[in-house]
Amino acid sequence: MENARISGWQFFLLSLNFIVGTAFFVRPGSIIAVSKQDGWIVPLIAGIFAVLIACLWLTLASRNPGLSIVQICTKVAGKYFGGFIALLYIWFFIQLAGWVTRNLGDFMKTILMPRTPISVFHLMFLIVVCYAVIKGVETIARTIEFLAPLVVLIVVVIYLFTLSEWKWERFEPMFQVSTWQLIKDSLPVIGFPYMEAVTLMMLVPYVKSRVKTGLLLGITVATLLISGIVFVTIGVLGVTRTSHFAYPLYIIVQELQIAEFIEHVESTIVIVWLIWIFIKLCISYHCAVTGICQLFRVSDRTWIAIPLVLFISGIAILTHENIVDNIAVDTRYIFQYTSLYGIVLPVLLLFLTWIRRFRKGESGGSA
Amino acid sequence: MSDHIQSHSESPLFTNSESDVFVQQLVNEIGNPPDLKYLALELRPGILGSYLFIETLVDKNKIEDNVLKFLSESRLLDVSESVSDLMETLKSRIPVASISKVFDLISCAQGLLKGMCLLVIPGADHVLMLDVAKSHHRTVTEPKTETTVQGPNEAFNEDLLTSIGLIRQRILTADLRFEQMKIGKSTETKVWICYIQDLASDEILNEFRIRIRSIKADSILDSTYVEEWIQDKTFTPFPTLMKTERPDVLASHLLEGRVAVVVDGTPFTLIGPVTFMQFFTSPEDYYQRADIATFLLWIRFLAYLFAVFVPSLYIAASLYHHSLLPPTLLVSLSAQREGVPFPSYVEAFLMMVLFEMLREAGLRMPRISGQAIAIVGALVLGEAAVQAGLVSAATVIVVAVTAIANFVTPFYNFGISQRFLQYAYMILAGFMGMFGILCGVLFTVIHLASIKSFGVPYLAPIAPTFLSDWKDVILRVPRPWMKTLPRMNKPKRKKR
Amino acid sequence: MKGQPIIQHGKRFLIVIIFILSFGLTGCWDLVEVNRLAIVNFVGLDRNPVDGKFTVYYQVINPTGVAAQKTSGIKSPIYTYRIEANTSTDIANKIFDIIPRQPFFDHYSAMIVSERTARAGMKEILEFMEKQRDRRATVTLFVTDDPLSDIMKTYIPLERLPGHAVGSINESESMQSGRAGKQSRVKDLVENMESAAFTVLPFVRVSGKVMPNTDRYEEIDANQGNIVLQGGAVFKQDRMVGELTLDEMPWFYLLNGKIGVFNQSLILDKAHVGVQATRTSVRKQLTMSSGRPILKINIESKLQIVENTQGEKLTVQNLAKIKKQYNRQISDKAYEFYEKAKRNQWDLLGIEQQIMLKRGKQWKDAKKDKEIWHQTKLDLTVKCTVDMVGITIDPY
Repeated sequence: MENARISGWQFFLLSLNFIVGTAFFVRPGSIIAVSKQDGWIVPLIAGIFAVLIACLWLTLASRNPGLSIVQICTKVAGKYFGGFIALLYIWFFIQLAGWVTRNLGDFMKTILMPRTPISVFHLMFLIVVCYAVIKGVETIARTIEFLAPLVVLIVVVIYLFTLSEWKWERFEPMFQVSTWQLIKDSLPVIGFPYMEAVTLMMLVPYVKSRVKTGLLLGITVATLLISGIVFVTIGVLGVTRTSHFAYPLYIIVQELQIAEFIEHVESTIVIVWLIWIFIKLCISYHCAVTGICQLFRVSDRTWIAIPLVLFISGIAILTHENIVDNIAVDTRYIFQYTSLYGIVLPVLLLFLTWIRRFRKGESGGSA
Repeated sequence: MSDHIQSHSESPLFTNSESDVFVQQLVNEIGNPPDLKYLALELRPGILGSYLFIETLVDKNKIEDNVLKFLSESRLLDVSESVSDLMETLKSRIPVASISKVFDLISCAQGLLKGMCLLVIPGADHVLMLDVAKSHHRTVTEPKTETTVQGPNEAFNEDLLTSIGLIRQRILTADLRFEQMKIGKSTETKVWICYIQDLASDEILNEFRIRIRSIKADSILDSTYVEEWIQDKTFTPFPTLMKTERPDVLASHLLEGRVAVVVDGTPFTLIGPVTFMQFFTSPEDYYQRADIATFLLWIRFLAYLFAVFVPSLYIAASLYHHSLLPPTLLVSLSAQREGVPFPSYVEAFLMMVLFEMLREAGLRMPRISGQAIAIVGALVLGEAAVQAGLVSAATVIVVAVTAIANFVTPFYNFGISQRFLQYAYMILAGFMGMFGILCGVLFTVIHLASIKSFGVPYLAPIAPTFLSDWKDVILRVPRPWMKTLPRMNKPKRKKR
Repeated sequence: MKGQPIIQHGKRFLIVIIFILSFGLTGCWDLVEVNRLAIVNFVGLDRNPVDGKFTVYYQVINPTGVAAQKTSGIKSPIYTYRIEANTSTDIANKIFDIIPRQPFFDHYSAMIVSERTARAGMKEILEFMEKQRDRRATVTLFVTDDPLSDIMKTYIPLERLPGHAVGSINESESMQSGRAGKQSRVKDLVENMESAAFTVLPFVRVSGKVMPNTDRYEEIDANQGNIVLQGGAVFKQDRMVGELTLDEMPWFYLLNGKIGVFNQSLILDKAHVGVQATRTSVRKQLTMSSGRPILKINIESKLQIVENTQGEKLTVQNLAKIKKQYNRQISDKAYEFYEKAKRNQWDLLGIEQQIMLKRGKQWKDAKKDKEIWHQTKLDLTVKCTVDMVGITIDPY
């Protein structure tokens, strides 16, 4: 394992950007399409559940201090069964990287460069990410620390300008959807992006202080950001148009006119999103590589990281045929699928940890 | 001053019986150069000594006024003294500040080559070496590369001792420390490490010592030779050591807990650890009002961004993302390009390379013909090429903006990094537009984040964040507010 | 760091460089030089409601004709291309039959549709536009009942790009006189496509005879062959249902609270006083009382006197009179406008839409009754203050 340290602040930024990452752009459209004017409540509900789930992960981590989730698997569940679970997690991280990559490709191809083959975007971006992964988690953390304020600044400035299109009438009628329905609607949101944050449990051993604050605060701020952006989208673009667009945020910015000569600033938002995708991809990629290294006791990350470029870009192309496919999978299965990694397996591991400790205590007592 | 005894074990020793033979050997050892003077000297009747020096290295006045005059004085003629007593008398009484005894041939040869005068007296068991070296150095002049309008205007020169003197004059604390090392088999260059003992972190200082000691070079002719051995990363366009020829800059860095390396024979000194953002500060910042200095600092950031991004964004916008350009600009660009033969990225590359050549030509040329280059560059390239429809006016403007922005960076070696990025991004923009540039930028940021300068992350104080250090890097707050030392250098004291 | 042999660094560096250079072997698919673009500035669209055939006009900018410094002999700033096709997809094909460069739609500044197209419903067209990545929905949409070819094939003076010209007219009208509104973009129409609210788009015509020759730039009479704003086209959802005259337009924007500056000429004892309402705030509230909706509209204006033909001095009492007259005149005309709209079955105040958005028991029945907005009582309160009187105080 690499000898690296992440500060609490860096871990906060990591978790915040990991969660906000792709969700910031992909989520508002689907949330508003389902929950209409009350869409902004959905992320809040999902966020509350996410905090609870994160507490579960943190308990698991604190019972096994200094270990990443892959190491916990092999430690508590034995070499073979634990190895199998660990493999599942590694597969999940790789898959996550694949999804994120595909999101990037879809976006670039739909919006900016329709004639360029999608795998070119994938490969180019993955190579950059691979470089970051080879450089290690400290470098990734510092890169994010450098980029995050920039991104937040651009987003805030752009959305302040969009407020000229704001209409409160777009929120009427409010509070139409029942609470139960809202909770049901928030399930996919819990699945993506919150449950994916289980990936961060790979980074916990590097964090020397304030793990809990970092993760929980990260989730909270991310929730507020996502809810905020749904709110802004409703107010600026309206429910009718939002629910028809694949990337409503892009449309908002596209239609923004700051001054007579500053229109068409959509490229800035493309930059922001690419940076966010980059951050999320870096983390999931790094976790996949470290997971493999830890499971098979490989010491040099480089030779694991490089082949994964091709593997992930392959997965990215195979994940779905188009966005419609993606949305269908997202609404129907995402919660069930991610809860395997986010809830079921952690609970199982926690249970096994508890059994182990119980046995140990018993044998220690008898001896 | 120096009374140390030098000896080389393998070389033939000086023996009192065969002084002529020894001298002959010595002359052969250095190849009997035409500027070697070898003169006989009668100390007292019967004792015929000789003195040797290399004419081009010594100050003849010193030999005449101090040595020869003294030797010809009558009180040395006291016959009762033995030869060894005579040597002692000479050593203690010749009015030359630095006299040492040498015993073997190699040391004698080295002494000669350093500009010493050797006094060989038969019957003695050693040779006296008198320091009468003449230094061939400029006087202290104005800095060449880091000029300022206000503030001190002295620069180091090639003489190490002058340079050290300039530092000592500025920092009077007893905690100012120097350590000397001699590096380079052929050059034996003196390399001094300077630091302030109660500020500089031991960790960083040790790193400096270890790295300098591990240099295995035959020659050190400039501080860049040292830099290339001790820098953190070899393959990077970004310098991890700051180079300065200004004693005031060096002093200010020492006082913030950094470590400096002074190399004999060059006015450029090295300072480390430094981070990316520090390369934007000019000494001028500290010699004028804080608010204006902050403004100028930001202008420099902006210029760096301009220099790096303007050509690539121009290529990206005019080839891929036409919607980025305002409609009127798009129309006028389109009109300008009507009938231009090359695609715009080729055009931009061509102009950029031409500009680089122009600049290189300007650097190496005698000053007088500089104007000619300026006229040819401005008129032929700028005016005629556009008139003839070879390049579009927009490209010329872009190149001009980039060129101006290129010159804003206060540090020459850092300025080169922006040229490197410029071209890299231009290539990427030509192939993939904004996406290409963004990949390039991300790559650069990762690269920057992965570099450390003597243990300090290169992107500090932004990543990792040291908020208290921002006051001197992103802003330039008024002096009274700068109460704490930069934390990123891990100084031993917190307060100034 | 120093611990590792430098040669390994070098190899890694080389690999990275080769990777970076291999990016270069990809790419270039989307590369288009600026001068390979046909920059579309103005689009005209006509669809025959009978056979569904499209006739599309593209006004493409001729860069050398527009750019400032060039001295080439070509004077025409634009060329108009006409394409006839059966479907929107077909248009995309046929564009390349005639336009030698790659059409570039990102920057077109206005779009115009013929009246018959608008009356037949524009859903299909709007859908197509919204799907394209390079077409912005912020483009102003115009309607005309003149033959489209007349509009698209006339050079107009001063602002040489007709697309810019009509856009600017719409913009300045919305700011200076209230006779047009900024909310006449494609996106406004799309937003109201699923609601009961009405949209009003500017209506234009060609004045005088068509000028299809650049000689017209030497012609002094700017009224000949110019595009002139004529009024507004009323849209319900995606369908045009009627027309508003230019004089009625401010009332629509006033009652919807979207007005900027507008002018009123007040009759006071046979003399008239011209006032300009510089800032008007409008508050609307829809309530239900005994089964009948009441729309309360509160209008507060800041006035500036621009013309005064009264014989008397401008005193506080006189000003009070002016204010009173203003209040009366505004509410009279507003009622009149509302009644006219109701006669035409146009719910221009968006009452039906507001009822749909209301919650609560008393609105439940109202929501079922599609025609209830007809019975809505308009309750207008107008207030004003005069804060500027112009440079002269008393009339001569």
